[in-house]
Amino acid sequence: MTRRVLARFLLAWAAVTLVLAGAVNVSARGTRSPLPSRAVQTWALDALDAAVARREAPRAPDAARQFRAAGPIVAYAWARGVPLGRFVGDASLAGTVARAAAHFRADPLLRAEPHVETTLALTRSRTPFVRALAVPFADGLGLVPLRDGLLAEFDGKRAVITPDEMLADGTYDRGLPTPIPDLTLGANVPALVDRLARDVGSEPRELAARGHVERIVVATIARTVYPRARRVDAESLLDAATIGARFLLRHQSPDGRFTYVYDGRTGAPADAGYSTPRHSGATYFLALLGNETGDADARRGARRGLAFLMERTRTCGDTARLCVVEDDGSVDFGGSALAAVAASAYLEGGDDAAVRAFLAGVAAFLRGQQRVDGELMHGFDRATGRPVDIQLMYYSGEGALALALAGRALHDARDTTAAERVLAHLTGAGWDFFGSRYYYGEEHWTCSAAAAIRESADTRVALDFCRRWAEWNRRLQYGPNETPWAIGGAYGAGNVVLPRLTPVASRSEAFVSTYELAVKNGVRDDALRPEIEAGLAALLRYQWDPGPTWLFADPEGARGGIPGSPADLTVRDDYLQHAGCAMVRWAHLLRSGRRTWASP
Amino acid sequence: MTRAHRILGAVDLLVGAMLAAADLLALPMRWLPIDALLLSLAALFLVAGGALLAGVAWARRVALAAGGVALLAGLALTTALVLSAAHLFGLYGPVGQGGAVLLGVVAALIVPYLVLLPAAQLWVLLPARKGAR
Repeated sequence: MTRRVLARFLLAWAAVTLVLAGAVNVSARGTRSPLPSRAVQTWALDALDAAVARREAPRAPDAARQFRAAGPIVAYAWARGVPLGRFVGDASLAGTVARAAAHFRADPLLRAEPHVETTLALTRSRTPFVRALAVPFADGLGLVPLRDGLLAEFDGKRAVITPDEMLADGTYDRGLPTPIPDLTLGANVPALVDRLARDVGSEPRELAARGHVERIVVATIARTVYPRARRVDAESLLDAATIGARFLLRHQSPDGRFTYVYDGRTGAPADAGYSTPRHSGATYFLALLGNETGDADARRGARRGLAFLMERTRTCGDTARLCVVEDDGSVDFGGSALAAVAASAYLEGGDDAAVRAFLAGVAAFLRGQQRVDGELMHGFDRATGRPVDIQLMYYSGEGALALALAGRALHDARDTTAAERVLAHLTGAGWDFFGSRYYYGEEHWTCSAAAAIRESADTRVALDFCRRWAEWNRRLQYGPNETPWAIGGAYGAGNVVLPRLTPVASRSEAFVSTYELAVKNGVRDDALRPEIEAGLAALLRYQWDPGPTWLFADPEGARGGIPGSPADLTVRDDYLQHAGCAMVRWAHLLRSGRRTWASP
Repeated sequence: MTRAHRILGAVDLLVGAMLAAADLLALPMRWLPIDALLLSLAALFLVAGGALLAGVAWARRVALAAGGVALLAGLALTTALVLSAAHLFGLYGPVGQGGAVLLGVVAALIVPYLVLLPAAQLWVLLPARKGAR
């Protein structure tokens, strides 16, 4: 062997790898067949509905008779979020609808259901399902959530799993755990292949050896469109916030407690514990909406939420200092801080002696937790009556906002001064280290706190910090067609992770605050408004209004919820909190009509 | 022994030690296929490095074997990574900044040690023409 042979070998390897990569890429993309017209889609659903109701089916239009999908079409009759009726047809739309209609018409289970919703899953492309790639976890990432399903054929038998079924089963975003809480991604492919094998009467190994599994790109045809694009203006934002508040109120018990996690698939609470900070945040949102729109129900709900917190209040040290405690008696700093935020917002809508006394006590507790350098201590030992100097995620920003709003509501300069000192620390010395311009934490509360003191304090340093944070996030914000999903405006660092909606909500709210700060300081930042409105558009798009109703056990109960992600059918109370606050606060700016450098 | 052989010997010792450390210290658990592959490769580099520095007669042949095995393993791994990336790009579209950084980091971990270095070693040790040394 010579150097020349080595060079030729390396060049040949590079060329072959490049060609293979191109072929693999093209194969993965596939070619998607067109969808039938909306009129044909409506006919298909009408025909299935007529069968379920045992009415005469409408006649198929010519376009429906001619339409062929790229693969099997599956017809569903959903009741209470479950596909009670399911018919797997071939590629012919008219043929599949006719046979599915006959199937549904004869189904006694469907006859007994008071409300049935029909949908169709239409195969748009078929490509080989590639497994065992070299990128870690590529197996679980081989199915694009909400778009891809699986098709298996074995011994003349065929089985299909569609995206709606995976969504209903909670299969998406559950395949690969990560070290980050709340973040899992990918599909559980072995479980899916196992199900396909069972459906065709085989074993996974046998299916792999003698049959084949394909990845199918599927479009759902349903009466309700989800996600649904909506314009971003004051009216639509307040409408969305109001139906969000109605969701929270519907799931609030008389003692003020919210349903912590609502599961759309069962229409019932999921057993997931409770969080006082998140309860307080939801209460804050209701108070804010009540102040903005005069919504009396929202205000009453906020008062009930505050009563729940006041019930859990104890003295912490000095008798004048009040804190919110957990069920086990331990002090909840974040819950206390956000309780003060909610109480302050409530008092802005009208006085209430009990709430005012509660707020004064919690504010005194928060002031007592402050260190000399401005930072807050997040622990408190009730046995010794002394603060414990630990720092937890979010809590300093929450404490700063609590003190800022309490200072405003109670006209107490001590609270405002304490808030200014926390902020000076958080946006100055607290975030000043090598590399601090390239990395940021969760700063939404910090920027909201800065906006809350903008009328009384010098906020130029905070504005600079919040604008840098907004710019950093802007680089992570998806454009309209950057991902396989209609998720433009959301934030993420790579397409394989389906973006979460809660960070969109918290950032949007914080950037509304940053906008307010910029206006106050006379600093022009033309990039803020598009960033805020793109985020709000994403939230409006994915709010359950009415959402994928066929997947819900109780569509009316689910209305107004905002899920954790597009592939999530649960709503935690704080998912609505930041989204609702961002909507109300941006609507307020739009409605205020103030002439600013970029007057909304 | 030429100066180039001495440099190669030192580099091989370093790479062998790094591969052994990567397997024994960096990996959290023992897994026979990976342990066997990495430790065999490490041993090959250590022997080749020692032999090149000592100037023994069979040093060149062992160094060629070490470079060849490492290069083949590196090329296979790189091919698999490139094909996986091409597949994911096809499925999800542009992978975004985060994905690009991740793939860049993976490439930076593999290409210098398992492609460029072994290729350079073979280049130095192989004759320019047939029959030449």
